[in-house]
Amino acid sequence: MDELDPVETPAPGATRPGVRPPVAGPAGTAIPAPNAGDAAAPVILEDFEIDDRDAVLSAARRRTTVQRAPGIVTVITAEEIARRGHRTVNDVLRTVPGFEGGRYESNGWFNESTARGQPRTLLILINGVNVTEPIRNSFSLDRKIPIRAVKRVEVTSGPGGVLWGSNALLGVVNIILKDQADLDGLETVVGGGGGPGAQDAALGHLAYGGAWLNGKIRLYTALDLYTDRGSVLEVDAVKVLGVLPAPEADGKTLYENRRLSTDHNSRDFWAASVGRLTFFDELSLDWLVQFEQDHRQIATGGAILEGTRAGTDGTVGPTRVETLGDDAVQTASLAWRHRFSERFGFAAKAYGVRWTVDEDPFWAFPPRALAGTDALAEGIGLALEVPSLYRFGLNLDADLELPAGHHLVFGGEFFQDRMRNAVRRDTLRGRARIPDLAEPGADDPAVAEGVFGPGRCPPAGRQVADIDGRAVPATFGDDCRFEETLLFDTTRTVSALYLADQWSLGERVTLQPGVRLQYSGDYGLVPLFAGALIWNVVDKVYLKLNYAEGFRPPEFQAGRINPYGLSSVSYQSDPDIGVERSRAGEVELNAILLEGRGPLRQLFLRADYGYSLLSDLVRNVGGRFTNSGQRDIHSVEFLVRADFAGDHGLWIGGHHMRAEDSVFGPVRNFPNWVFTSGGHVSLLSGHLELSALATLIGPQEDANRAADTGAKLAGFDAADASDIEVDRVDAYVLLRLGVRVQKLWHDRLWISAFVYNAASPTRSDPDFFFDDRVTSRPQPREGWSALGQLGVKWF
Amino acid sequence: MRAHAPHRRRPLRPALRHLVTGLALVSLAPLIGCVDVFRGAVVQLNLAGLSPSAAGEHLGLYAALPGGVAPVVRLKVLRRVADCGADARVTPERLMVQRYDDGLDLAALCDAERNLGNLDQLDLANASLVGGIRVDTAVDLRDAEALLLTRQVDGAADPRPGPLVARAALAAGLSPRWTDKVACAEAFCAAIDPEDPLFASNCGDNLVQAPRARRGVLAGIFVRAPESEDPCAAVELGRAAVVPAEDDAWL
Repeated sequence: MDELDPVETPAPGATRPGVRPPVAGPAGTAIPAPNAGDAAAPVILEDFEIDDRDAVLSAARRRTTVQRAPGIVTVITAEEIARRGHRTVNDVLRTVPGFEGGRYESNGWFNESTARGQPRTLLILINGVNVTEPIRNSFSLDRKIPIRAVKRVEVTSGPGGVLWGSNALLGVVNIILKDQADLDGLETVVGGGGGPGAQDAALGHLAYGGAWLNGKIRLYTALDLYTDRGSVLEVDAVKVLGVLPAPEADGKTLYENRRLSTDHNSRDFWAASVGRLTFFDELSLDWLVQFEQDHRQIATGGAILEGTRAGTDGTVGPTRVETLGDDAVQTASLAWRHRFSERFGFAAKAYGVRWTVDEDPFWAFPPRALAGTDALAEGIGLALEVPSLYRFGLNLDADLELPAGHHLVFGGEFFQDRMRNAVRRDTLRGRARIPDLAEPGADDPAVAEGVFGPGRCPPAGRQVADIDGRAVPATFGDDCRFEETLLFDTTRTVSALYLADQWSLGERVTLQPGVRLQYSGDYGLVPLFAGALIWNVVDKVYLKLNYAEGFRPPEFQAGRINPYGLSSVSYQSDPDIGVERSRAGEVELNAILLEGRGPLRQLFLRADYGYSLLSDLVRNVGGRFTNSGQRDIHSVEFLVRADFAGDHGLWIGGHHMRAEDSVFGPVRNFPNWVFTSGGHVSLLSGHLELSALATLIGPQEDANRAADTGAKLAGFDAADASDIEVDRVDAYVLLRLGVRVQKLWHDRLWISAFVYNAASPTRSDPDFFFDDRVTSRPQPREGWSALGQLGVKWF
Repeated sequence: MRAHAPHRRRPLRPALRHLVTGLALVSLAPLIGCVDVFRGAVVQLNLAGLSPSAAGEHLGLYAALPGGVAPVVRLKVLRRVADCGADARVTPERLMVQRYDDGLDLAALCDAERNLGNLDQLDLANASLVGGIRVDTAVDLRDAEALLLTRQVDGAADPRPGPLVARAALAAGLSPRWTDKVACAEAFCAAIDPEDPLFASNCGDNLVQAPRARRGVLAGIFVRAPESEDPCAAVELGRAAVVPAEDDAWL
């Protein structure tokens, strides 16, 4: 048997009971078979028996191949994740052309990935469930997804609104977690590491997979823990005091022009339970229950959280504070699927998602003992907490094969986002008038008018202040601390219907039109259209023409934030804000060539061009959210992957992008080009594997305020709005080196060691939104780190 | 034995031919990105020494370009308490810079959506360091030579600049005004007795020096009009920085 032939190659797990071998798809393309229902018939949605990087589920909402899918698709499998030493899904996306993995926004709060250079344009799915958080349309792809429990990551570059609805503006990332097909037995992994990029790291992973009643009941479950003491981050200028986010007035920023590093990191934790329980191959329960504690030592760009505090004896000494964040996610889904015939299949999935948004304390500036004022004596610290943020939904999907080459995928979606009791805790720094506490006739005008502020705190309890004639309630505690509404309670109900057709016109040409109608009382009716022409030019050479649309619903903070709070850290909301739209035209050429030629097992090539138009973009202008402007994006992506006999591999990919914004011109805070490449060699009959991965990230620009203007105020360097400078963030290389020793002790034991960011360049991220105000310095990034792991499969 | 599908026996040459053609087409695609490029600008100002706008007047900000003068924005300086009715018991007075349009009453002009910033106002005791005005404009200012601040009559149909209030010559990275400032300081120090206490505080090691040039901006210092013949007698009203829509990060 020639193992190079994909038609004949058994899919992983194909020898297990109940799992059939792959069948040949049209034009000889291998499509792994499902293990439920009829093997020859396509199965909609997630079929977790697939473990092949050429197969994809999320691109067409049914199983197809990367080459034939309507869209630009990249699949990263668990084996590639392990081989490349990925620690997070951000790491995965950094190696996918068209994406940039692991960007921090201005507060270092979120560690997100971007598509086509645009922030928060990704739909993040976990097992097909939308987990993109609705307050900011964001999702940190940090350690919260236990990477060892990831079976595959399917990445679609470009809009995906017709099939997936909300948030699929410029990309869809479907993170599919493992199931019992991936593990039959008990596995433990322990590890540890260090370095300035991840200090004193440790991890543990315990996973079990088993089947009973001839496979009718199957279980996979894993517990995962990761901990470290954060990164040593160096800032080149220390911000002492600066402006707060608009609508707070702009103003002068005070700096100390000296370098300082974070060296007071507390220990961070990420813990997760992942699992899948399947009955009779038709009913399955999936869950990801995750908890975290993440400390940060840097606030708004360069405001390193180390300040000074005056002691009781008058001496001034250093003091350190940390922001403690928790943006965990928990999700569970119950799915049932059944094939009623070869031509008709149906699936229903009910799910729930819970997000935690808890930043307590959330420091803007550390305490600072300043001569002549105690305004910063306690620093500027607040707390943001959203204790109740949920999404409940139901998906109904079906596929129906019709005569004349039509194959329909259709369905409906209903979900509800619910947000309750979002609060902000802060200290009264300005003045507030509480009419009920006025004491008419008092000598002091402030007392007579009921005016409170620093130095005169309201009594504890619920009070109602008057701001511009509006009643603003807040609950006061001691020392002018208060709690008020951060976001108004909200329920957003969304329903949608979609229909897509895979229409085969002969053996080589397929048309794939699609339409979706999505409605919410919050943002109205959103019609979406898509269409693809896929031409099997010859052999395994495919040409795709694709048109796709997507949209992003208004984030809750844009429409629901309380604009009349006592806290100065706020935004102005617009309840009538509309959705943002994306439209993209794409052309892709992909090919699998030179199969079995000489030492080559396979050469995969992909090149594509996309033009994307973003319209009705939501911007924050002067602290107010508003729909305005558009953005044109030209993107060229390519991927070349060569697999060699002997289990060696080499790949290179990259993208070139150009984006023009109708408000500020060229989008410069993202690299115009990124190249990523890697490879591995397998030695000693596969017992030893050496790998390397390098990512070259092109230069970017950051609109900062220069910290070294020469102007002084109160002994500090002072910078104004007009001291803006467009910093250049130079190109840099991220280098990863790894070694794996495997197939030891009867193939039960493996050891791996990876060095991340081995070249350890000093680097930083430009501001996520090209803002010149809140983030006055680039966000520093971590240096090198190393991580070793030992895994044992006990039985 | 491996079972070959018939089509896999075809020669690969046609596939390669198509592949090369496709790659060539794709490689031309970025050229599309070279057309229809937006070239607006962001203008950042710090202004002090201006009074609230008189009744019936506003300020015009114009850019002097090689081809003439282009309007950038119309501004009205209003007092947050006295003009816009903010509660004086809890709100410190502030000189707000509002975007002006004809036909709007005072309440409309005071709307927060029209706020572009504030005149500089320092209150370190309360950790309040207010100041700064931001204007996003669709005017291409990459070749701007100066910014002009003019006095305009409300409701006047004439779009031309009115009487000049202040002018800021622009140059890449560093205001050209710094040349005068340094020359004036040197002339002052050359003329003054080294024993004079003013010498010690303003000359020698304390001689004023131009800051370093800043990347990616056109910088200027506003000088009150009419400008004196003697550059050392010029009165400064504030500073300007123009961030042109350049893409300087390709390589």
